[in-house]
Amino acid sequence: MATPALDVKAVRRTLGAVGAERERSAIQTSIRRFLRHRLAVAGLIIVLILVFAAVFANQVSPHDPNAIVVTQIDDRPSAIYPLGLDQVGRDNLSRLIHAARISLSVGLVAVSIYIVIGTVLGALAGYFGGAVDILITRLTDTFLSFPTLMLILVVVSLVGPRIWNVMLVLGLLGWPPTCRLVRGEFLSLRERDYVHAARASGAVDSRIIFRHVLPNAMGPILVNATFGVATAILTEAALSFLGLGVQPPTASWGNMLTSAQSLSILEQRPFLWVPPGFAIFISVIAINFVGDGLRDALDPRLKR
Amino acid sequence: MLQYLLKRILVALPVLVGVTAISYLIISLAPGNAVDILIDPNQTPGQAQRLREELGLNQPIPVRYAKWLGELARGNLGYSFLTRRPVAERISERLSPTLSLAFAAIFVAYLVALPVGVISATRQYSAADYVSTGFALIGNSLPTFFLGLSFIYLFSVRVRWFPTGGMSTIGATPTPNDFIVHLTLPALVLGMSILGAVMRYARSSMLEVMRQDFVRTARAKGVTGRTVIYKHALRNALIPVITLLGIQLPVLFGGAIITEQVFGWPGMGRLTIEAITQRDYPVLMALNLVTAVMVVGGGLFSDVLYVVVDPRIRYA
Repeated sequence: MATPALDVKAVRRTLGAVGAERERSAIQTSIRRFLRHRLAVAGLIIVLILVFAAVFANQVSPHDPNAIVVTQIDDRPSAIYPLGLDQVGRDNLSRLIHAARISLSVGLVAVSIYIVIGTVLGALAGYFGGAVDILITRLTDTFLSFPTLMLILVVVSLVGPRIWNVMLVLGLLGWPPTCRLVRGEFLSLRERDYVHAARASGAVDSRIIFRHVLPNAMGPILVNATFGVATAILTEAALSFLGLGVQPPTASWGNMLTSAQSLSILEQRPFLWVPPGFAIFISVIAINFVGDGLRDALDPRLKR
Repeated sequence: MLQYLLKRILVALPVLVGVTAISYLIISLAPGNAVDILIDPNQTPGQAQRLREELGLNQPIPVRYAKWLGELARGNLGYSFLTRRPVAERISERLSPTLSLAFAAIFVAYLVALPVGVISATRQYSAADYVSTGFALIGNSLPTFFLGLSFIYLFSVRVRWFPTGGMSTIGATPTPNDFIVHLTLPALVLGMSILGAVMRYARSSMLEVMRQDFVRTARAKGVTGRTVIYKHALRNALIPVITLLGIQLPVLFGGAIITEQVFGWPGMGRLTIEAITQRDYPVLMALNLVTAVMVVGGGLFSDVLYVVVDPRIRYA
């Protein structure tokens, strides 16, 4: 008598549906937890406004950020130029809005680069262990022994301070902490039952890494990335402030503050340097709030 | 203990060699070089070539690196391209300004952050807790250069309490008083930049310790609240704070690049910027090495401090 053949596909479909259902409810729980975090929601709203300003900078700005106004002698804030004119005679408000685009994109691109590098290296080290782990950990330690800002400064000054270089350098040098974090996650996750089950059912390493372990490590990685964007914005601002980041005439919040190093501008034209400083502060603190909210929402270990 | 430290130093050596190798490679791949900056426009190509040979720039990178390592083993950090003086001399004259600024900043930060962290942990979710965690977050999110400029604007320009920069009044005979007046603002700014992290660490580690059994036992046997907090809990809560100190020390000793730049403080941070703009590679290499040594040293230093704070810790 033939046993009825197990319809493997049907079983998989059912299990998949159950899994998707569970996943959806997990996401819903996380969203609910995030929304309970009031500061995180406030931060998210500010970030969305900044993103909007950055994307539609051309539409939002009252003037061309690089056009030099020659008709106006008085450079102080006025109805037409609410934040005044900078020392070259360009509209400060329009520059501030366009700089949002620069700062946010540097942050996003740099962090995307290093999250990929850090995740891949950390996953390899944590999952395979042994010689691979030793090699990658040593490399991480070496890079962590560099004073970050100094190394970034040196490299940026060597490859030339341009916006793409700043993104690349921040991205290529920022991976060690992420690598450490992902390695730690993989070390603990790789011994879980579901990983053993996956291996027993014949899944290959790459499938286990990307389909089974990585999704479960995504929470901490996402939180790390969020805080990373805030740090990258601060670093870009510092580099541009020192004249080693985004170069004028392109406006960045950091290089808008460079001129305040001269005492006459610092003393007599606070309307030029206070707004970009505040813009950096507001965006960094908003992103940090979002990061806090994400951590509370995604990390069940931190339940209050 | 001594054996453990020796072992740690031995493990750190390859990391340090790696640091120098990577920075040598990066610096050597630079498109421009010192000769472009040093030559005066009237020089002939032959003279530039001679200068290049004199500085050893005509040899392949690995040879130069090996030579540099060999000289380093003899305690020679090389000669500055620009001033032709020994690099060690250029760095050592910057060392004491940087160290005094670093210690002052650490003093400010820990003096404020430790008690505030403790208070905010012992009264979790109180108004004081919210104010101090909010303050820590603000300190963390303010860019150092903006904070520095704002302080100069407020305390040197509006209210003329402090000088706008530098380490001493030009032309005056240096007095301790004059030095402290110049040190105050940069130390406050640098202190603020690390204060948030210290506060967060102190608070969360206090919270953790306060939940533990021995704290409850101490309370149960009638030890008063203050003694429990400061004698039993705080001591145990210091471990993560010390780890943090071990991470922060080398960064500060390496020169607070931005703070020193904003306040015109003549330390290693300013030297870094100068060496970068002047493409003075030997100085940059040495600065990299010195800071990397300090990073490793910072880790060792916190290992030693652990034992002081917690005698139960033993190193095999």
